[in-house]
Amino acid sequence: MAASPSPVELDEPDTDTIVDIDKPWIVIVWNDPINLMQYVTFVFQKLFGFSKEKAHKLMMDVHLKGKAVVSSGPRDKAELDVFRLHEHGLWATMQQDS
Amino acid sequence: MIFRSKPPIRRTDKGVVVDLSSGERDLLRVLVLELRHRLGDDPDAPELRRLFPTAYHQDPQRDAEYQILARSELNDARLGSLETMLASLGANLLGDDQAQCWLTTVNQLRLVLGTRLDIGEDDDEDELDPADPEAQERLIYHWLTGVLVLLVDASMV
Repeated sequence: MAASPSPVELDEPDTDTIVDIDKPWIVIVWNDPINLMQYVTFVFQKLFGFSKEKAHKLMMDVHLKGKAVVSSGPRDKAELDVFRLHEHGLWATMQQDS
Repeated sequence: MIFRSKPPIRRTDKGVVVDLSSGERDLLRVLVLELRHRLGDDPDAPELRRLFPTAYHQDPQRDAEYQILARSELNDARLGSLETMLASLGANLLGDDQAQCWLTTVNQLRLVLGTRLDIGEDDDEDELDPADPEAQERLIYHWLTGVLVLLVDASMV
């Protein structure tokens, strides 16, 4: 069995030098008059693994409120989600959460 | 697709059954071939704009970078789905992957045709005007809507 490690002196993070926390990016799907409601619900289920109820609710938000946030995270992940939504013909954009 | 007891596209234990007439398959072939031609010939055409949406609506600089990377990948993905659909247009039974290619390709056809027809939120099939020079394209658009609904239903597990 390995000996317990000797205590190490840790550098405390210097909070004064942290200028900006990387705010998450949000992915927004916008209403458009052509994409079918059933199709949009299906794409949300397929791409994000949402339940039928959750996918339907988000689709209704897109339809009635004009847009819905469907995912969030680091920029790379958000951009991949946007790309997959574009691949399926949905009107998706991304922005940094305010 | 009228006067049939079962939906002409439907999920079964074996896969997705396609029960379309040869005329319906021919129409799909014509439309898919036209889309392939347009994607290859003039991907920047205004009626294809819904296939290549903006990603960064608040940041034109980043969007330009996204477009450089994404456009060709999107085009490749679209052409891939389209080729799979073309190759299986005569089939009576589709596997799940093939059915997904039909789904995304028929959706593309609707997006492009709907953009050309400037379809709005209130466009209604009941309001077709036979004197409208675009009446035939509008009929095809609404027919594609029916095909897409069937494909979505057949994709749900």
